[in-house]
Amino acid sequence: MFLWLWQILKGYVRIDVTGFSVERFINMAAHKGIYLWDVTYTPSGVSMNVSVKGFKQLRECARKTKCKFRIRSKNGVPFIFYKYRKRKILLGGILFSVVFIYLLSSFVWLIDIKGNDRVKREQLLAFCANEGLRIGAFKYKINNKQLKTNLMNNFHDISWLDIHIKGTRAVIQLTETIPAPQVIDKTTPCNIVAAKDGLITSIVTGAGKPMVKRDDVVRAGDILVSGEFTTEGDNGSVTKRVHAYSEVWAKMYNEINFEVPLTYDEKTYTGNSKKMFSVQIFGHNYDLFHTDSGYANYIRGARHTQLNFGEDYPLPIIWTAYTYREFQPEARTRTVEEARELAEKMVNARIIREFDFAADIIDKSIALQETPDRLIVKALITTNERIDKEAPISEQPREITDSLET
Amino acid sequence: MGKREKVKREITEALALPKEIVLNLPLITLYGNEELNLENYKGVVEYTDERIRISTSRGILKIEGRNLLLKQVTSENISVTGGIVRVEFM
Repeated sequence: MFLWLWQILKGYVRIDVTGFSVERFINMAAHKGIYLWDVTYTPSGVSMNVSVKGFKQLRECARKTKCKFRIRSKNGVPFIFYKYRKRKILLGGILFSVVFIYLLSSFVWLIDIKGNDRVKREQLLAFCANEGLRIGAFKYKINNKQLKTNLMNNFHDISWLDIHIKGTRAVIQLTETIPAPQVIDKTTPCNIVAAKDGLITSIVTGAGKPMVKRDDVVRAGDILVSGEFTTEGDNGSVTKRVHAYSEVWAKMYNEINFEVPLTYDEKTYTGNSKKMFSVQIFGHNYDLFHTDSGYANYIRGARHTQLNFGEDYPLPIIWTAYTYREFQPEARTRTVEEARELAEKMVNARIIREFDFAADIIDKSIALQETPDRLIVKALITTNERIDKEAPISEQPREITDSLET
Repeated sequence: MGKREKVKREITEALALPKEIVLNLPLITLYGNEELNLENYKGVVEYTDERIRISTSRGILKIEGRNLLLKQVTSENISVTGGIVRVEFM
């Protein structure tokens, strides 16, 4: 491989040798220290490769052995240079492109962030851009060390960080800290209040004074367990404040209302599609051969490709192919039965999407009302949910405790 | 074999010196049947694509095969590639 590269660089000649004894020719050349390779047999003699330097010494060998040689081909860089020696503009073009590529590769064209999970990518990029590491930044001007320190100081969730610029790609590799465990503060006094309206189904209090009992109806914000209470001791009444803790479950009704129309549009793809391209160079978009798609209804998909020289040399050129697919909207009607099924599915989907994962669904009743063009759906979902929520003790609750105690 | 040669051989064998250097023997390396590398040769006697004869200090080495090609020729080393069928000292 390297030998071959060397031969290409230095240039070599392939010659045909004919004569009475080509073997003697080979021997003499070898003895003179001329390197011969790929010697092949031809009916009239042999042909072989020889370096340019060795070729100049062959004349003597040929004369002494009475062989004749003829050049079949000249290969390698020196001959190419010789051939194009008068083409100044071509040379200029080559030099220009080399310089241009060198210049382009001195900028950062892609920033890769690896290992972030809690730290937002956008925040990191914005911070880096502020510090000078942005797409299009001159890569030798970026102060890695300073940037690293600043990033570490600014983002406390990063425990380890490395920034390196490989080609035109800046790679920010980081490891995040292990999230600090949530400390439940058990020293600050607090109340437990209701997070939602509901009917209490169970209340288990660990600390504090329960203000409600089972089957009580509460509204959101009502105090369920008070963290402040008065005890009668030997020295008169003493007011104590504790960090209330309680698990309160309550039953509640949730209404889901929506309508299912009996007519709808369905997209039928006609199979017609058009492709259009655009290219983004240095952040500027240029549309290529863009015309009106001519479709009344279409869906546009886009695929972006960034040009690059290998993985480490992405270039500031992004090629985008847009695909326009035509469709025909077709009015369809569904039967009441189909609408019913759809309504059921939609209710279930909304339960999964909107309800707390920890909530128990106790009952689900769906009431349907048919009108000529739509189905009105009213679903009543009964759930059992945990509603306790910590709230700081304000100055007012005292009165409530008092009133309840009497 | 002269006396001088005999002593030389004995010393070489006793000291386990490389024979191809001390005794000027040809060293043949054969890679399967597709490449033969010969060091310490004297000269090419015959070269066709089916038969190659190379003279060495121990007589002529004949290589027979198909599509034989001299891959490299230098003053001390010669390398033959192709489908080698027979290697023989004559």
